[in-house]
Amino acid sequence: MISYEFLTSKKIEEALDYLDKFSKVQILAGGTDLLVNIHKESPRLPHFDYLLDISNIPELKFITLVKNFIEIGPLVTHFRLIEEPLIKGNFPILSTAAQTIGSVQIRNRGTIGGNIVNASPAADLLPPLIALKAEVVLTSKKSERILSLEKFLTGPYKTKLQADELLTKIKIPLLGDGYYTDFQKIGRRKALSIARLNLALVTKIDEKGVFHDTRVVPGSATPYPQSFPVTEESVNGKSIFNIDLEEIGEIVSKEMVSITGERWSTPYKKPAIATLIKRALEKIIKEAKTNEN
Amino acid sequence: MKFSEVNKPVKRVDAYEKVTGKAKFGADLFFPNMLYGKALHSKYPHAQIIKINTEKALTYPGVKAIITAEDIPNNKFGVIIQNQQVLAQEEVLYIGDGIAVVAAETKEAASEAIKLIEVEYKELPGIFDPEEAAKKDAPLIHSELEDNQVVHHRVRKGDVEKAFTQAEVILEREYTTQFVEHSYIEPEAIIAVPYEHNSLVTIYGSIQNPFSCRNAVANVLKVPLNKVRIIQNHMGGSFGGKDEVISSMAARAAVLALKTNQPVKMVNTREESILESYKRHPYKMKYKVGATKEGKLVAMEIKCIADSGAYACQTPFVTWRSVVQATGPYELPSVKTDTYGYYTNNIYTGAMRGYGSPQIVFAQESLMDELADELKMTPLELRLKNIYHNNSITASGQKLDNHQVSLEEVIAKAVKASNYIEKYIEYNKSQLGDKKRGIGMAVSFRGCSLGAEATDAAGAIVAIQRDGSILISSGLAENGEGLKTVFSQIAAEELGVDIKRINYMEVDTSVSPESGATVASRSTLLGGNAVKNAAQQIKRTITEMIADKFKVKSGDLVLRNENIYNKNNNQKIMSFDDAVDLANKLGVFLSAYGWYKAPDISWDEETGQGRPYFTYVYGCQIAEVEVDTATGQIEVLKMVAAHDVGRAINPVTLKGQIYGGIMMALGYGIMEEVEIASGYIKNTNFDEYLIPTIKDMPEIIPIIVENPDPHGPYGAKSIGEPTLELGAPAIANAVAQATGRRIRHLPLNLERVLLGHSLSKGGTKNDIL
Ligand SMILES: Cc1cc2nc3c(=O)[nH]c(=O)nc-3n(C[C@H](O)[C@H](O)[C@H](O)COP(=O)(O)OP(=O)(O)OC[C@H]3O[C@@H](n4cnc5c(N)ncnc54)[C@H](O)[C@@H]3O)c2cc1C
Repeated sequence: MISYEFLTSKKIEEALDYLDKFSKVQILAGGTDLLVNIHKESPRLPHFDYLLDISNIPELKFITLVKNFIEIGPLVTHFRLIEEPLIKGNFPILSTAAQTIGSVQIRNRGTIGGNIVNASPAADLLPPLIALKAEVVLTSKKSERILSLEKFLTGPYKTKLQADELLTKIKIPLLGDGYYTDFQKIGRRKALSIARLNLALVTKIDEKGVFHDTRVVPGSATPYPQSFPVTEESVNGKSIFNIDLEEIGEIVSKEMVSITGERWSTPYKKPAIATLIKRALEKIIKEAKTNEN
Repeated sequence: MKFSEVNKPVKRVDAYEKVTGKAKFGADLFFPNMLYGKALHSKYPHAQIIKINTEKALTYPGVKAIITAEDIPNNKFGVIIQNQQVLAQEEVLYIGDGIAVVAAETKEAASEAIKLIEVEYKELPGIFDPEEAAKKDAPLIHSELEDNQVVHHRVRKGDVEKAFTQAEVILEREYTTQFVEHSYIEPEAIIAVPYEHNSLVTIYGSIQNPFSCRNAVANVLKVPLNKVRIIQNHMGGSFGGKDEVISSMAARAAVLALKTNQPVKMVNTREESILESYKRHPYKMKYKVGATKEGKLVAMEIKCIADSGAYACQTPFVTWRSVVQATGPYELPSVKTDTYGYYTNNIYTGAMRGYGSPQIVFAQESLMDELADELKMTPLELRLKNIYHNNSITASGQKLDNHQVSLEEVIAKAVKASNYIEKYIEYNKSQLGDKKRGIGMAVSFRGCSLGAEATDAAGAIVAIQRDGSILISSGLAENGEGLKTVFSQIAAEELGVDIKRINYMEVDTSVSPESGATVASRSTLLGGNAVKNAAQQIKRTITEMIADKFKVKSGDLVLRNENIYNKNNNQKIMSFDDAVDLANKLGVFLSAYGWYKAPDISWDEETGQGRPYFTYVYGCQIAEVEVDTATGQIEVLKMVAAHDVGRAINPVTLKGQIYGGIMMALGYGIMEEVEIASGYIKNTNFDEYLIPTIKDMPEIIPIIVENPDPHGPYGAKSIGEPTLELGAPAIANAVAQATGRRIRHLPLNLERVLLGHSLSKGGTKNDIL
C-alpha cells in the first residue's frame, strides 16, 4: 500500500506554490491513469509523498481561440474534446481520437493533460497532437517554458516535466487551407480498448492534388509516439491520383521496424500499420476528390 | 396445456432488492468484533517450502492470528478426489497456492502483515504441459500417486480400425482451446462466524454450492456436518466458479474464526481472484473422422487431453462429459474416444459453465465444416445427413427413445431465422475489399443434469404459514440465473395461488434438504420437480381435508386463482385463505418436504457404453460475422440461437440465459485467454484479461423450442450451459468462410486472424514480473 499526504488547490498559483515548497509531489488530474498505478503499486510510479489534486482548478479547463492557435487547458476532458465546436471544427482528428478512448466514464474523467504527461506508448491523443504540431506550456513558480510536444516526450512514460512544473496549456496552431486529417485505431474489442495500434495522419493537398507537409504519427508502434519522417517524405510530392498505397504501406512498416527492431509483436504490426496508413490515405483522398468536384 | 404461473414471463422475485441496491452480498455483511483475513500466496508455481516464519508478521499492530498448514486439522479436500491443499504443506503446486492466512483488525493490517511473513522456498522445476506430464519419466506432481494422470475415460463402439478402411474420405485435425476465467463480477467473499446459534461455525458468503462447501469445511475441521452451517447470500455471478475456491476460503476462515473466537471475513481482490481461482480446462484435441463420398459418417477417433493443473478438482467429471458428447450429435457406427486429464503446475482447472463441452463442441463442429468442405457439400447438408433423430443410437449405445430428438427442428428454425442458405451462397462468392462476411453454424446435444457422475436427487420444503403466505426453501442455490423465480412460479402453479404469496429463502444447510449443487444445468429440472412434488403433497392434503368436510371426492377438487373449485361444476368451494384457516383449526399440517430422484442411468467405465444421461437437450446457433482481413478484427453481426428447452418455465429469464451464454461464448471465441507462462499468470485484472463489453454484443435472436420432456417439471429441461457451447465454433466457422482460412485454436484473436498463428511475449518469468 502506498501512503501519502493529500493536497488540493483551487488556483494555479497555489498549486505552483505547493510544487515549489514540497518535493516528491504527484499531480492528480482525472486520476484514470494515476489511481490505477497507485492501486497496482506500479514500478513505473516514482516514489511520492504528496498527492496534489488539481482537478478543482477552473483556470485549467478552457478551450479558446487565441490568434492562430487553439489553446486547451490540461483539465479538458476527452468528452469535451468530442463535443466542443472549436475542436470539432478545427481538429476533427482530436475529436475522433478522443471518441475511441476508454468508455463514457473514462472519457468524462480522463483529461488531455493526463494523457500527455502519462506519455503511454498507446495514448490515443498523442499521435494526433504530435501530428498537429502541438506545444505544451510548462509553468513553475519561477518560470514558464514552451516545448513542442514531440520534444517534450522522451521515452515510454517519460517526459521533460520538471518536479516543480505544471502543464498549464496545450497550444495547437490552426491548420491552413487544404489540410486533411485522419485517425485510425485497432483494438481487441470495441470499447475500453487500449490501442493495439493507432495512427494519425495530417497532410495538405494542393489544387493539383499533390501532398505537402505530411505528418504521420503512429501509436503503440514505437516505444513512444513519434513522427515517421521517411514515410512523410515518401508521401510528400505524390499526387492523390496516382499515389501507390501499397508502397507507402511497405515504407511505414519498414520505418517502424527500423526504430523498434524485430519484436514479438512485429509480425502482426507490420501488415497492420500498413493497413492503417493505407486506410487513412484512402479516406483523405476520397475526401479531397469530393471537395474538388 | 394452459398454465397460470409457469410458461409466463413473470418478473424476477429478487428484482426489487437487486435494482434498489438493498440486496446483501457477501462483502456487505459485518459482524461485531469481525476480523479480516488475507492469504499469502506462493511466489513460485512449484517449490518446496523449507521454512515459514510468521514472527514479524504477528507483531504487526492489529494482527490477531496467523495460520499455516500446521493449523489445519485436515489439510486436504475435494469434491471428487481429496487432494487439494487448504494451505500448502510441504510444496506449493501452483502460483495461487496459499501458504498462510492472517487475521487482523483491519484489512490494511492484514495486507501489510502478509508481506512480513518470511517464506524460504526451494524452487523446483515444474511441468506446464499436460503432454509432458503424461510422459513415463515425468516427475510426479503428487508424490503419493503413481503417475500424473488424473483420469482416463473411454468410449468404444464398433470396430474403428476396420471402419476407417472402409471410409472414402478421412480427415485428421488437431484443435486446441485456452484457459479462461469465469469473470464473475463479484470476487469471492466469505465470513466465518464462530459459535453462532448452536453451530460450531456458520459461513456466509458468495457460495455457489452450499452443501459442497459444508462438506469441505466439516471435513477440514474434522467435525460432523451438523456442526457447520452454511448460509448463502446473493451472488454476483459464479458460472461454475465459486465451488472449490470458495470451499478453500471458507475452510481457512473457519479455522481462523475458531482460533480467534471472532468472526473472520475474507474478500478477494480481483487480482487474488484471478490468481487463485480455478479456470476452464484448456484442451488439446485430436480428431479423425471417416466418411463416405455421399457424406455419411462411418467412424470417428478422438483423443482429448485436458490440463487439470495442480489439483484434480472437477477434472474427472469434466472430461467425462467430454467423452460422452465428443462426437457431437451424429450417428456413427464406430467410435473410439479417449479423454484424459493430467496434473501440471499450472493453475488448477474446474467447473465452468459448459463443463467439458465448449472445448469438444469447438473441435467437432469445426471438423464437420472442414469435412463438408472436403466433400464439396454445405455444412448444413453434411449435418442433416448425420444428425440424431428419434431412436438414434449414440456413441455410448444409448437409444434416444424417451424424448423428442429435435435437432432437425432447432436447425430448421435457426436456418430460417438467419437466412442461412441464401447468406451462405452469397458469402461464398468473392467479396471486394478488406472486410469479408461469413456465416457459420454449430449444433450440439447435451445430457441434462449430472448423468452418471453422481447420484442425482434434489429436495425442497414448501411451507404454508398461518396467514396463507408461503415459504420455499430449496437445497439448490440461486446463482443469479433466476432459480428463485422459477421455483416460486412452479409452487404457485401447483397451489393455484398468486406468486406474491411466496417468499423464497436463501439456502441454509441446517434447514434446506441437501440437494447437490447448482451445476450441470440441473436446477430447474431436478429442483423444479422437488418443489412441484412438495406443492403437490400440500395440494393433496388440502383437497383431502376439504373432501372429508364437504363430502366430495378429493380428485374432483382443483386449486386455481386463489380458490378451490369442484371441477365437475366449476363451483367455488372456498378460497385458498379459508382453506388455510380451516387447516389451522383442524390442526392439519400444511408443509411438505418434496423430493425428486432422477431416473436411473448406467455407465460402463471400460467401454463407455450405457445410458449416461436420462435425457438430452438440442441446440443450433448460427453466427454471421464480418472480418477485417487487413487488421484481424472480427465483428459478430448477428447470432441466432435455437434451443429446445422442453418447456420455458420463464421465457424472459430463459432469454437472459441465451443472451448471456452467447456473450460468454463470444469472449471465449474471440478474445479471452488467461495467459500463463511457465505457471505464472500474466493478466490478473480486467485491464489485460479482456472480456466483451456491451459494445461487442451483436444482434441476438433467441428461438425457444418446446418439446416437453416426460421427466421435466411441465416438460422443462435445461438451458444454462447449452447456450455457451455453440457460439465459439459457430463464429469460427463463419470466420473460416469469410477468410477462406481455418483457425483451429481459440481464441480467434487479432494475430491469429491476420497471420494464422498467435504471437506470444515469450515464456520467461522476467516477462511477467
Ligand atoms: C479503463 C481505462 C481505459 C482507458 N482507455 C484509454 C484509451 O482507450 N486510450 C488512452 O489513450 N488512454 C486510456 N486510458 C488512460 C487514461 O484514461 C488517459 O490517459 C487519460 O487521458 C489520463 O488523464 P487523467 O486526467 O485521468 O490523468 P491522471 O491519472 O490524473 O494523471 C496521469 C499522469 O499525468 C500527470 N498529470 C496530469 N495532469 C497534469 C498536469 N496538468 N501537469 C503535470 N502533470 C499532470 C499525473 O501526475 C500522472 O502522472 C484508460 C484508462 C482506464 C482506467
